[in-house]
Amino acid sequence: MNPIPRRKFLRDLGISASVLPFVGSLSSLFAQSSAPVPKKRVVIMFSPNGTVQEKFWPDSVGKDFAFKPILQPLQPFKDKTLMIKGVYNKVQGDGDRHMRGMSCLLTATELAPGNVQGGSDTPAGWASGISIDQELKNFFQSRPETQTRFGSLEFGVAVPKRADPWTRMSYAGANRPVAPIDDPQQMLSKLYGQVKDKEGVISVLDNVQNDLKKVSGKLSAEDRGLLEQHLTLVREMEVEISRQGKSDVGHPVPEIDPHIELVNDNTPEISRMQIDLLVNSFANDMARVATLQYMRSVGEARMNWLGVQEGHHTLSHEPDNNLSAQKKLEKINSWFCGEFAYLAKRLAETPEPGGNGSMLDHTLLVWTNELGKGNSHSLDDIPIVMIGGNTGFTMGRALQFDKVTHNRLWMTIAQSMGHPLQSFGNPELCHGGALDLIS
Amino acid sequence: MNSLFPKGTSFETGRTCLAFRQSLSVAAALIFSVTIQTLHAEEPVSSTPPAAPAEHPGKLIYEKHCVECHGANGEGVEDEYDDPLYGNRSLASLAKRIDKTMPEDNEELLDAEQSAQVADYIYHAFYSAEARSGGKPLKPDFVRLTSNQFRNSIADIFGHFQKEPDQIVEKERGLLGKYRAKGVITPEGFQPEGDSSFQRKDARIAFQFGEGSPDKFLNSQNFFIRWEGSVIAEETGNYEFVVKTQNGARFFINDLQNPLIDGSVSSGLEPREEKGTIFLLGGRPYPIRLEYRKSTEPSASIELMWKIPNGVLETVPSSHLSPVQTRATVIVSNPFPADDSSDGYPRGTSISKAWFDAVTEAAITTSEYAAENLDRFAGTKPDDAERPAKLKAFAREFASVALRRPLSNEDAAAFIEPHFANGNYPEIGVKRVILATLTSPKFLYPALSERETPDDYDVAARLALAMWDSVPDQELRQQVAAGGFKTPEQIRRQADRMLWNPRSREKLHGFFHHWLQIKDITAIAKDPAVYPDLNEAVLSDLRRSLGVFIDGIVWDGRGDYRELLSANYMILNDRLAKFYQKEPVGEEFRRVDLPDSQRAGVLTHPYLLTSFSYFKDTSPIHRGVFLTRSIVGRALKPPPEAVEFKDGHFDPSLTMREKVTDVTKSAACMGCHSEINPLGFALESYDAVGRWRTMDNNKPVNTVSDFPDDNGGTVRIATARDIAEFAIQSESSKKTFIRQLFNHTVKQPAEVYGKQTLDRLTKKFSATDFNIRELLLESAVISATAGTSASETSKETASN
Repeated sequence: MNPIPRRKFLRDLGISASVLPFVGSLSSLFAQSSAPVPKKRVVIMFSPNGTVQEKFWPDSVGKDFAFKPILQPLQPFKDKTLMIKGVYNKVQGDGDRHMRGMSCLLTATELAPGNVQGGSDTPAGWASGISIDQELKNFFQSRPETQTRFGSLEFGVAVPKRADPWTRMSYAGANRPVAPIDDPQQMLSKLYGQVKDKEGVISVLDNVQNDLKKVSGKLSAEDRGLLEQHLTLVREMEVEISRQGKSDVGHPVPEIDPHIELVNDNTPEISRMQIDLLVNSFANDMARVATLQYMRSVGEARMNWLGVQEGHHTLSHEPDNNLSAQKKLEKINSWFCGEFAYLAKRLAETPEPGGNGSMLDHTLLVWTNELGKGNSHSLDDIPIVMIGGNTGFTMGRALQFDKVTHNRLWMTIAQSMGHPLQSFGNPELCHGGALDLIS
Repeated sequence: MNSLFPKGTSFETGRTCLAFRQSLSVAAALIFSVTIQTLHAEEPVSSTPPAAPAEHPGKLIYEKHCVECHGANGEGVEDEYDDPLYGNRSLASLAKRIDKTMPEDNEELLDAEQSAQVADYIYHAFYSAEARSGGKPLKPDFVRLTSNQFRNSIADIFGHFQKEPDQIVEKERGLLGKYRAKGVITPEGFQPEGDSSFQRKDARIAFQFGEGSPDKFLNSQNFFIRWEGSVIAEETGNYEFVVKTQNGARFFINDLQNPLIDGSVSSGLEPREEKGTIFLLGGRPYPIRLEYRKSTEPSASIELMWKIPNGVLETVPSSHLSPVQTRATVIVSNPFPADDSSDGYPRGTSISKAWFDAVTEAAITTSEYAAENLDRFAGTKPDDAERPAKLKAFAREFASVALRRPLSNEDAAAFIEPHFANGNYPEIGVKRVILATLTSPKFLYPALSERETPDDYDVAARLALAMWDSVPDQELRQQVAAGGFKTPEQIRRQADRMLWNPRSREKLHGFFHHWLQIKDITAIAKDPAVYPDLNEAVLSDLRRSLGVFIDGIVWDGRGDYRELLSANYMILNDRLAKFYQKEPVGEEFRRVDLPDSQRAGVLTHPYLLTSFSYFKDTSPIHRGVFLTRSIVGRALKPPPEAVEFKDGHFDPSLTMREKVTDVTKSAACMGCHSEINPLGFALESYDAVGRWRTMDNNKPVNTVSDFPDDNGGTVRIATARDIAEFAIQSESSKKTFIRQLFNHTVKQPAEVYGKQTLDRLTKKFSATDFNIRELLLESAVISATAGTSASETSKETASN
């Protein structure tokens, strides 16, 4: 079905090696705004349906903790990891727990009443407040030294094409959900659209030039004037593009298979593409905030690539004593952890542009979930794993808190980014202020 | 490019009189500045050569008294009078003017006969258009597509590949509503089993169902409504749609797969306003669908609203909805720089980097859109074995429609083959062909694909550009291909068919917009302390009323130019009727006859009266300049110096007429204001928002003046109807109208098609009872057939 080699296709589409330098120069335009102050960035990664608590949390707290099976992929980053147990989503009100787990996860405030009926409880609508990623984006964008082209980017992997409180966690404000982009091609086009465009234009400029030359001979000197101006503009565009091609700075755009179908079985490949694009967009300083959303709350991904045929959500309902199901859930969550580790690895491998150390040293990664545990739909002990640096947090530890609200965790992270947030989401749930992740 | 009229010289120029910037300006048409030495010289000035026997007596006078300020060939002299001495007055009028006003500050120097000699000399030497063309045959300016033509062409090229209707013939308005609910209501009560459904026409979408349901047979919980049809956009621009509901709703427009507004999740108990904006091309219908779902929310309501260009937020009116679902339109929505209007009408005589970039961007987005919808346009499917061949055939046809003729093998080799060579993906091939076609000089400069002797395809291409600003449609192409588009009768038959397509109506809208200088409502500001009732909604309705008035005459009526100038009825809806103190007429616009009024068509249309007024008061100067130039059709020079009209400088007891009379009393001003003021004063019966009045500043309004006619005499003007009558009988007024319409239609000066073109059009105009539609058709046919055997002008040119 695919008779032409992928590389050739890429070349035809204009995403070939020859354009890469141009891409870099594009990004350097945006990079000018960056100040010599070390950058701070944050990524929030989401995976759905709760975790297997016993295979997730370490048995001991402090520096000398050991990763449980699900966390094994993070072994290389153990000294940069911070695990936080005891964070509760205590937001009440309309909507079932999956809905509240998802749409109140980053907003930490209630859902408005609405027409979306869950498996239990009253129907609900959208979250009634801004999410922490958008709050931080607004903060960064409000200051010239941290402004970037996009401010934030919302990546998705295998997010179904529907908009409801189970599929949206990022909110620009009350009732204003932000849709993640789960098509790498679409994201590529958002990030580097102009590059592709110019490539296509180059391919037809010869046509235009030949035409102009051919027809202008038939015209009077006077009429030729307009065509000669036109020809000059064509030449200028050619020169412009080739000049841009020579100044090589910044990070080349990853190659994306333009034909990848957005189907379940391609999820691993799509996931890596999205992570590559995310790292690339950070390297070119297009944004300081990103979310990476896998599927959705109640997602039924069938992870055939792990040898798991059942849908994820259905499996998550199986009781604790269904060992086979629990084993599969462990596999699934460990796969998500592997993607989280890949993100950390890509950032760790990339030197910080214009700074010291790696990009991971200047980026905080947070991996979370809308539920603590699938079969009980518990919003307690929701998984929180952080990796990265330049936050002031003391990393390389496992911590246990006593049923603190997740509002307080988002305030803590905001403050570590320089945003002096004293309350976030429902103010009733903010008592006690930021958590101490330093001592 | 060579232009018949140098910039800033004729009535058609885009140059703004300073008076239009809320300042009063002094104007003088001809200034003879004469030095004292010259005047008092007893001996001939030595530098003047002795006159040759054949020398024109007017030339001697001109060289003696005029050349110092106006230059040897009327080109003007810097720091003296630097505007060229070109214009469109009749010889008699010119002579009279010179006698009255020249030389400046010594008007008595020349008697009437000498003035007539000077006039005769300059008229034939350089003043008139004929003189300046110098007897050389004019040829059309080489032009590119205007941005409007570019956008319309692309929409119609893609339209060629769609089967759905592109226009609405049916008169029926509103949308088709399909209602559905779970459960059935029977005499025995509610039965949860089964579904109930029905459909009906809804004039507009604005429902407050509350706790109830749309129909007694429909359950009030869990019902679903789907409205389908089209929405009609009149002006090109951004349209904001608003769906107001406390339930779930999605709104689709021009793309029935991806919603413009997705409000399917209800959130909060209050009605939400979900918004989306889309750029639409005017004069076209667009398919829409509104899906509405009521679940278990306590209350139900739904409203579809919009804010159109020059409109206010309102329920989408029934008049702009149709239950017929038309095809989607491919819209180029990126901004284009304004087309050059220095000749008085927008045309493609210049290019810039901004234009080139806009064309490139439009070509890219269009090619991408086509690639995403390829199977639909090419009539194929992903698993079609013939798909590659069909895609290539589509590419070839696309190029052929865009380039307005079948592709020659040479063209195909250049345009098509390279992009499909060497086993390239056909999808990418199509994309490249579209990109190449839409950036091709042959597409952008239509004259480039013309044959040395224009053939039938060239005539068809010109006709479509003139009448529609677009490419030939399928019917026209088929006629040409079948050899049925050769004789003048066949060409006229097609032109007549095309005339009744909404694209022609849109084309004329552009003309009227330009001719009447119809401003955006945001450009009009009135003091709310003086006019508290004038709000954006009234202004928007007024603007629409003007459009309905014009369309009613041009398209629904006899198309009579005279009615346009003299109709004593107005088009009002309830809001306007209230504002102008008339009886209620209903929500929709209706004709209201005012037999005893002084109303005179567009001359007294309140939108124009309002836009040609000051913040607090009328402006006889703005109104007068508009009437002089656009309606009576006389050239006005830009004022030689700007004088600001400062209301506070006058005695507060003066009327507006008295103020204007005072500030324009100098001879230098009166050169132009002897024409401007009488026309402006005649409209003093209408206040700054177009309401009838008899008093100004506690004094009776005086509207009577003497106005210089076309033959050196004067005519008494007291009312707008007098102006209309004058313009209707005046050859030069009609000619001005015809010239402007011709320019707008053809984007070339009329003289290009033979010196007698305007005269012939004027004759035909009178012979067809001043029918504007016929004038459009005639102008388009003249330009389309130029240089062919079907042309009437070719015979005339040949005999010259």
